[in-house]
Amino acid sequence: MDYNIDSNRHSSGESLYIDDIVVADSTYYGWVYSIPCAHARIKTILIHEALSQPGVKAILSYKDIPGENQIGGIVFDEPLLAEETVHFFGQPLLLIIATKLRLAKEASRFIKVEYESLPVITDPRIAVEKNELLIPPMIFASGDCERGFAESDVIVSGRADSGGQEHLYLEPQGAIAIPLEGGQIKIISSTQGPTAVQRVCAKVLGLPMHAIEVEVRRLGGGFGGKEDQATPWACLAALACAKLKNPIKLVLPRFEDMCMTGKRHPYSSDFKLGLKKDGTFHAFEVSFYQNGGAATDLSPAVLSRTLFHGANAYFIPHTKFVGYSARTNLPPNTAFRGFGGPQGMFVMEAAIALSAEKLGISAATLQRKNLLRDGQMFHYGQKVKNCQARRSWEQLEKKYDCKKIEQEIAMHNKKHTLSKKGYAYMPICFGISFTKTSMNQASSLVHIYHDGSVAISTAAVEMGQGVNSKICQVASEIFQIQPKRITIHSTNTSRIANTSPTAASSGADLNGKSTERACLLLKERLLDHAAKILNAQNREDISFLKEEVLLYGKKTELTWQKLIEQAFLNRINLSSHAHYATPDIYFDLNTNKGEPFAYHVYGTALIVVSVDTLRGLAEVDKVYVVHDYGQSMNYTVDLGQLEGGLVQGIGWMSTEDLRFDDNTGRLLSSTLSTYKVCDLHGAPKEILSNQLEGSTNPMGIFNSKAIGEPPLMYGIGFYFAVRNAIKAFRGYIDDISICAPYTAEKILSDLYKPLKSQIYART
Amino acid sequence: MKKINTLSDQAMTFLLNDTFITDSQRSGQVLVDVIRDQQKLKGTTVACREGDCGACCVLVGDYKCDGDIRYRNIISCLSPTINMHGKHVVTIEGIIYKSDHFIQQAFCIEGASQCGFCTPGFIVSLTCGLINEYPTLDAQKVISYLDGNVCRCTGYKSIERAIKRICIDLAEKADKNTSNSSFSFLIEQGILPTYFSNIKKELAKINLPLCVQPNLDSRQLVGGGTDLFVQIPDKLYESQCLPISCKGSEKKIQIFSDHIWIYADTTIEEFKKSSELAVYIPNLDKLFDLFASLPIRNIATIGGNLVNASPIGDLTNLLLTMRCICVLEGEKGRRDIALIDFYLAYKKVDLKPSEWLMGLRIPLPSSQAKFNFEKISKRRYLDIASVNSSIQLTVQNDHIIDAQLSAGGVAAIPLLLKKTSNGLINQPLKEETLIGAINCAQREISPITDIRGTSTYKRQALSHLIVAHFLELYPDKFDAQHIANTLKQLAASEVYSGL
Repeated sequence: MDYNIDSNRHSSGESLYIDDIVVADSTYYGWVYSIPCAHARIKTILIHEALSQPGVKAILSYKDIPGENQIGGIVFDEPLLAEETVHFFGQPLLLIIATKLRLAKEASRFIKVEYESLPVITDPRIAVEKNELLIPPMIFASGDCERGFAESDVIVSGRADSGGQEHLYLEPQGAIAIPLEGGQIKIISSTQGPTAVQRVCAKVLGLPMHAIEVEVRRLGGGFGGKEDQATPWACLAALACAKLKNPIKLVLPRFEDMCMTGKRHPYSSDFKLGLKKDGTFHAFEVSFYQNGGAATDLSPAVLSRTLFHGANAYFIPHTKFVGYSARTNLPPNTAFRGFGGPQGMFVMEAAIALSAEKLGISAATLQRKNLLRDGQMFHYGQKVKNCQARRSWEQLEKKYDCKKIEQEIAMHNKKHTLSKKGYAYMPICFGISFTKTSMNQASSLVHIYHDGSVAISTAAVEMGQGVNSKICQVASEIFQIQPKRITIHSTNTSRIANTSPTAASSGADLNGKSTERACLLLKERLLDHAAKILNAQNREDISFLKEEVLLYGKKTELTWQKLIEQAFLNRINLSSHAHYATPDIYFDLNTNKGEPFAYHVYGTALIVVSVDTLRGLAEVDKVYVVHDYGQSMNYTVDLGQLEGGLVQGIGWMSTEDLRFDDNTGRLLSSTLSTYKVCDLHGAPKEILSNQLEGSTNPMGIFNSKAIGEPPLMYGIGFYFAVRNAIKAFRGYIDDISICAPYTAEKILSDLYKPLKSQIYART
Repeated sequence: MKKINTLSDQAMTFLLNDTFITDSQRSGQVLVDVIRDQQKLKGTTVACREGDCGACCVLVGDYKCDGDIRYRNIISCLSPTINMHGKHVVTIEGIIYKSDHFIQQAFCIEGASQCGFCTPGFIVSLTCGLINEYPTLDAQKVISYLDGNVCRCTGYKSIERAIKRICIDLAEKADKNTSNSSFSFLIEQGILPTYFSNIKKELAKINLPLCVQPNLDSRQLVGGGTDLFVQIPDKLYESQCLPISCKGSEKKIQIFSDHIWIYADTTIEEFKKSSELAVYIPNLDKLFDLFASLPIRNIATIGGNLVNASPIGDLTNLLLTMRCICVLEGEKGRRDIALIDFYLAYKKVDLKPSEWLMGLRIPLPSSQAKFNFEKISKRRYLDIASVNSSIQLTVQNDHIIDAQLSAGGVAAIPLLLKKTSNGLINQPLKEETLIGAINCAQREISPITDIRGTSTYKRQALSHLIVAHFLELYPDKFDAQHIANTLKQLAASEVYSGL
């Protein structure tokens, strides 16, 4: 099987998203009210005029919350509805409920809030200066950095900044809450974390978790943006539902979604890289200033992954990574594909670019020389095993004749002035597992109905990544039945409890493994029963193949269908539930050492860009990739993740220019007309990709490797490819700061940035 | 002359897939809400409500001048339903009418759908391409119909592969096919359901409205709606809106002995593809690929676009260089006003409440005149310009004898750079001429810093676009290396500081 099982439904428009679900006519609609200020003390709120508007049923504030007004996941520092102060532009203050969405929105115009504006901080460095930290600084270190720098022959230091990124899942945030009997509530949510929604709703409503049922059919995209931040909207819907005993629908319009939700964390970092004369990396020190936003959300976990991936795919004996999670007056920033990893790797690549420029050698030479090898140690104490860093680089070079590509680019640049090409290699190494060890668990419930059809429920949420297809494959493979016999049911907290969010690229591994276990349990029972029917000595004599039951490898009268019918009549348990927890991983939060990852994903990309040096516009000509899929179990799905992740990464580095007003904290790029994701033309003209040969992975489901996040980081190569094209035009690049994204404006400005000598000549 | 229509809302009728819809709802309701909320067809999704994603794309079929039905892909989130009167609206449910549809198979094999939210919009646009690019069915051309569809999951390559797969297969069959209608071919191939063969007959059942004078007092005049429904959707929902589109046998773009006439309800795409205009601006079609996206261009009108008065409008920018005259109609009859005088201040035009823009008169350009349009934006396609510029240039013996140079995004209104244009006249095609123009232009513009760029950037970008015009039109007359160095020197001077 090599396709996405949802594809046909998507193509016909049958797939249901939150806004498509048919709701009762009596349903009320919610509109979230906020004030146009990023930091304010609320003085008075007048709602009576709004309450008397047509169709308005209620206007709820924090005072209406029966349980705790608290939605923070790691640190309890985030109210569902603001109380005395507002800490970011767009922070929910009130919830207006009306018979129609339009009426709720209309009524919001009649709300009057008096408030006193307070100083706004948007810059993480300023926040750290003022000691506005969400958590204490985090330090990951290995070797002895001081000694490392003393032993280095060359030391390169600098600053690198990377911008935030809006998730822009096409389906906006939303939830429907339906009252059940006895004060229980069913919530249909577009969330990656059904249990998070359940837990927080229960807390907000002062109910036990069993009173809340959370149902997720699928998401129209998540990318991390619905890991924690689907929760507030579900809670608000549930709050109104509990209050009014009526179904409530709350779907954010795009503008509100963009303004009210957190994004990829912008980072500003100072780095220092020490190298030996021969180009060997010896010591690396980075201070990361993470822009966390107004509340903690997932920032500590994101920051730790930045520190885990601060050295990317390279070995450096002496490292020191210090992370500051800054509290600013932006919406609380959150998970986004890569989860801090890309921000860490960007700084590493920036240090390499600067070092190469300083040493007058190519970045590729430095990159290649320092790639990880088996037996070395990651700076967090895990031993490098089954390392594919060099193998993927070498396969890329060989497969695509990279030397020739480099030569052609040099030729082009010699011939042309107003068009310059640039290239960059981007190796990646990404650790797979939630870095919080306890989250690495999942469970599956498999029912075989007595007509032979199979239904599977897991903790995984389908959001386009194809996890349901892979789970279907697991059952299909083990039972040897056609995929069409199998359906993957919605993710529902009543069927599967205590789920980890579908995140960290781990969905297929964790839920695939738990499904494998559940299916194997069933298979044992079925083999036993088949052995009984066929008078075999033991179950090992029986096997399943393509819907047939074999005895000693030969066909019998039994088929899957007949076997199931017989098993049911003989009162064999045709359901099983199984749990999986990733073995052998641990991490000591006191020393920041351990074995946090089940395994690592590797790969190398070569990105080639063209820059129109007259207009300052860049485009991606080609991307060549050799990626470590392990043994891909569904190549169509995996290739889609590779290409989609890569293009999203390029977007982060190019046109996706997330802008806040520094003074007011207001999001300026708050619409699709001002925030530009890659379109058909903006994507690379060609993506040539290849599977790394000979990679296997017993820790992954069916020897595959996780695929969700790692490819995004290939996109980082775009930045350095453009930088190299600019260097080809200017002849000189050392005086140009490293600050992503490389927008059209920055490209033009950098291309024509006066050289120092010219500035002197002017003054 | 054509007259504007007033429709009684009760009469509003259109064919939705294979069913007649008589809609008595508000004229200011957008099409997607009728499709999703009233008709409960949920395959058309809403992701942005500003025309920037294409998730809500539907097909719209209407009569061409020659009486045939033509289909266009449009965004339904900004289209007032009233504009659908007498037309055939096709949603995803009306295309993928059976299981195992060939398009479905191709999307499945190539993994062209991940989360699926954008997929119906892509398939609608693809179908539009298949209908219009028959019989060659060139994959690249078909793919260009998707330029208004955004996907956040796939990175587009799998979608391109799926379309190539479909086009290659169909093109092979099309060669052997003797039938000459794209509809009968696509029906035969199972791409379109059979009801497509009857559309002409079905649409003829709808009475097309009478043409009457507009009464603008109580109604908002709406063209395609692509700007107004982003800006004031709630207001439009409350009020009644009046479409400027109407069915007429007259051609929307006409050439007279000394001028070109363009009706205000001409869509941007009709303008872009006009064979009449191509005589004067051969590269117009290509230049205007950068204008919004196809599903927007298919409904946005010339009139609506000009009256919207964006200082960064691409169309205004080009028309300013054509010495375009706006013809306004009102209670007191008609009056002419030069486009250059039409813009009074930011988003303010010289248009009285009772007046409307009925068309444009453009003096016939000389046969020697050449045009170029340049645009810099954050994203190359489907984006609003940071800076744009157009030029009409006539050169004889390497000397400029006529020049009209415009610039957008560098002032509160769209600018014709009069001094700079005049300064170019009689100048040789030499680098010094360009530098002179750049320096002069800097004094005519007053850009501000905003989300689309800093004022310094806009000043620099315009200067580079002035150079780009000349390099595009007369590449052999200039030394690129030398120009690049000169531009570097300019950047090092204070010319872009606005001082």
